[in-house]
Amino acid sequence: MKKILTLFIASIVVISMAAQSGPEDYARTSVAKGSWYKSAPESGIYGIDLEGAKRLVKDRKIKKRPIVALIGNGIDAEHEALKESLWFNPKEKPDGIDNDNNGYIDDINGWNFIGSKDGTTMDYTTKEGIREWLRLKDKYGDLIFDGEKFFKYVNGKREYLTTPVDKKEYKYFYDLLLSNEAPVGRTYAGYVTAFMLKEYVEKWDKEITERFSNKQKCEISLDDFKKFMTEKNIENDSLQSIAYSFSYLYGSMVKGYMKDKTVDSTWNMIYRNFANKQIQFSLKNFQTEFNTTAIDNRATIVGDNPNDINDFKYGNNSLLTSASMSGTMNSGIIAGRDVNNSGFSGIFPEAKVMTLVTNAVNGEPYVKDLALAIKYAVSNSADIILLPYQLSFIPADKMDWIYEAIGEAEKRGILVIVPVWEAGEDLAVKKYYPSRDSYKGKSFKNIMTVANSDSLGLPSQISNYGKEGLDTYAPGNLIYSTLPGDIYKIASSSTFGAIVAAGSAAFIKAYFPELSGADIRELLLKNCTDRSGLEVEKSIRQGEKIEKELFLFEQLCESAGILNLKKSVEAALKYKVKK
Amino acid sequence: MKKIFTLLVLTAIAGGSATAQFRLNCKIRAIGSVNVTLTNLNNDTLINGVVRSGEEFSSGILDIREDLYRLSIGMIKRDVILGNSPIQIKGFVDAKNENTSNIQIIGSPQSDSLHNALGIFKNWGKGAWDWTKIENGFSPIVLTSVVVLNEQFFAQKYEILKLLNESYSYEVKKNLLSSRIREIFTTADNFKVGAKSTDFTLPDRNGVMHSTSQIRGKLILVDFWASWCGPCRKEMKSLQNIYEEIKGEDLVFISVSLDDDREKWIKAMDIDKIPWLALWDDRGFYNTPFQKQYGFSQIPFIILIGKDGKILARGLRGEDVKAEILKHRNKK
Repeated sequence: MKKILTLFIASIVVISMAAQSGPEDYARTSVAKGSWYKSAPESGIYGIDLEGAKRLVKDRKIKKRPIVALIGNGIDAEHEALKESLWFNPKEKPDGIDNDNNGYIDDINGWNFIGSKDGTTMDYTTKEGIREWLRLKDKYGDLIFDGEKFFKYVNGKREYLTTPVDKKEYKYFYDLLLSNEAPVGRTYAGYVTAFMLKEYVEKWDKEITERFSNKQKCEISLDDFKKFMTEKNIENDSLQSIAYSFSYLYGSMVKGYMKDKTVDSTWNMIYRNFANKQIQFSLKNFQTEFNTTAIDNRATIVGDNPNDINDFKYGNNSLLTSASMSGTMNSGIIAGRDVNNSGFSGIFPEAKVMTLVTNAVNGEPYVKDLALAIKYAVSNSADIILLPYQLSFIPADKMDWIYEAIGEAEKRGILVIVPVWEAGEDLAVKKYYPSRDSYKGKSFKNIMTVANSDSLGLPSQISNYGKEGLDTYAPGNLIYSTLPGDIYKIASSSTFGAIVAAGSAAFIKAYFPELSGADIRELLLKNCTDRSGLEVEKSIRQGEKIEKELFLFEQLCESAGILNLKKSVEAALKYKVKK
Repeated sequence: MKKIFTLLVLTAIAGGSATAQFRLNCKIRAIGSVNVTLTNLNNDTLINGVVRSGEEFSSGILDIREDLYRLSIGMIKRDVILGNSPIQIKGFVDAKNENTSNIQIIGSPQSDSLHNALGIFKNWGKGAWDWTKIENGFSPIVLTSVVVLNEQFFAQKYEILKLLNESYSYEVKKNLLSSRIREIFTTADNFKVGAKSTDFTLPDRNGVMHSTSQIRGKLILVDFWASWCGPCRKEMKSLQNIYEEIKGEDLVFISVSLDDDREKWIKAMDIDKIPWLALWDDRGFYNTPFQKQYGFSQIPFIILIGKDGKILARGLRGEDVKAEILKHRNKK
């Protein structure tokens, strides 16, 4: 199953600051400056109305500085606009000692779960699907099911299995290949299939020689070939029919060589150039794919047992990784401060950002790291947790890990915000994890899924959608924020909407700390800028293609609108905490 | 902690203004140790040093002219316009990875402008490049820099080169950039329509030398070609048809082969049955000075030279050859 954007890099498109030209129109200016996400929707620019929210609480004091745990990328913790807005672990001193005995040394502002003891970081992490395939490859990778029995090729010959095969586990393995969660597995299957192809070429040789004389077998007419195929009852599009057709075509192509050569040597050419070559080619294909996607050096860099959730004492405290661009921008949007009269500030500078690195420059994060990061955030009193994105596949045991961690967060009233992927998928049909209702019949009321909207109040064209799976839209493109090294730029990212939601949640938590994550989610969803009744165009995935279709806004998300902080704060002032 | 960069070759830069004020300060976050260099169009190194994450570095004051320079930091390379004001570099450099690095240069609006202009040039797709669309948006120094940095592409865009040579002239600027644009323009000037064509003397298949300087008072149609060039052989047929139609006393056709291999040249001539003067430049396609003198980088290349030795038309193909000849034939 193809993904529009590869899962490898959080899609940040950095563009230079747009030049300001034209009339001094507030709306235009704020879009050009990348600060539009704070605008009041009444102005025609569909922001969250930050000023409106601030006015409502101007006579109140904040009751706490909420802690927002950003799980995913690294951060420039020295950035002038961020260093006052970081979470500092009250139980740790930078002294090379694990003061609070949590298994991590000097976890001052967070932790890097993919770091090595010597301060480096993994630059690629394999997907769960690939590691599942690696786990089961020796058991099932070579197996072919002929409809009744299992066999594999040993030295080019079929060997039927004498011991029974766990059919359920085999199906799991096979479905993994079909789902394309392990592309390397497909290339291996291609390699195995090449042996089958060769077998069919040999069979073809035998049957053809039986039917036609040795000399004639390279000169069969198309009609005779078709008759032969029908007689043998060979299924269209089966591997056998493909093998036979190719062999036939090859045979007629090389018959020109017959002048100087014997029929047998001509026939050998078919084997050499077709069957054997196919085996060589597909082996090479597999090896290339394996070397580029199935190796991430976790064992040498991190050195943990990735299948044991209790093996958690690994990583390092280096938060400035190669992949720090989005983490720094995200932190800025939530809690950036105006320093040196830069004119820049985030949604709620009083928030404290905790950085938990699970994402490498390329690849998908390990679910184990995500689960441990959530647990870390919970143990260290985070109020809001941001996951980097949803995953399309998580093996059952690891699913338990991450939902258990989210369960702990729920008990402590922590809101878990997750951006949805931009793959044009209908979330009622294709499931992503974690999400509110996809685990053992439970409904996690503290999980909030968010997609991006733009200044015109339109939903992101290609984001995943659907009332069941998507909670709300929030401003998410062309936003000005901090980049590593004391610089600032405008950029767009598929996760910015969730970040804006996190900043908004932090604002509410600061003034109403008694509200739980579930309460805040409910407030944010029920008090949106209402967009119901609006017809919008979306690009959606239909099979292998992307097509455009019209939707009513309320079909796309639960809230039927765009996050509005002012309205949510208004409602919070009247909200009675449910017991 | 301040570190001073090692300074090289700064006295070689002539001029500058009364009080030199250029300085490069760099404070970046980095992974790994990062090399910083600043070079000019002659590849002289003005600054060369190593930067570490979080440490402030200064080059000290340098006396430099306003000019185009190349800044290299980690794996990032930026073309910058620097002059008599200090610049600051901020951002993040991943020593081994250009894609995860991001820098900002503060204090040089011309550099930002150049960065934008180069971005537009790169994204436009060379075929759709429309000079007039950006001309008014960028200053002469920026436009000149874009051209000099993409010399191959602009080598024959005579009007643009002429314009820039005037608006960013060496006489006034006296820097490497203006010197370079002057060079490029002069080369183009040598082969533009109306310029005096460069005479040449080459042998025919019998070794007899022929000079264009001997052929005054006639229209000369010169076809640069080679035996290995398919389109050239096709064009040869078209030229033969035209030749048959309009040949005359006042008109001379010359085919100049840029083959390396004499045998191949002779063979091709025999196959194509070239009826007119056929000469050979044994320096070959890659070393012939004709590319520069006549301004072409691909063959076939056809020009029409007037009775006074001046270039009447260049880059002709197909029916244009006939049209141009007839047009100039009927003039006096």
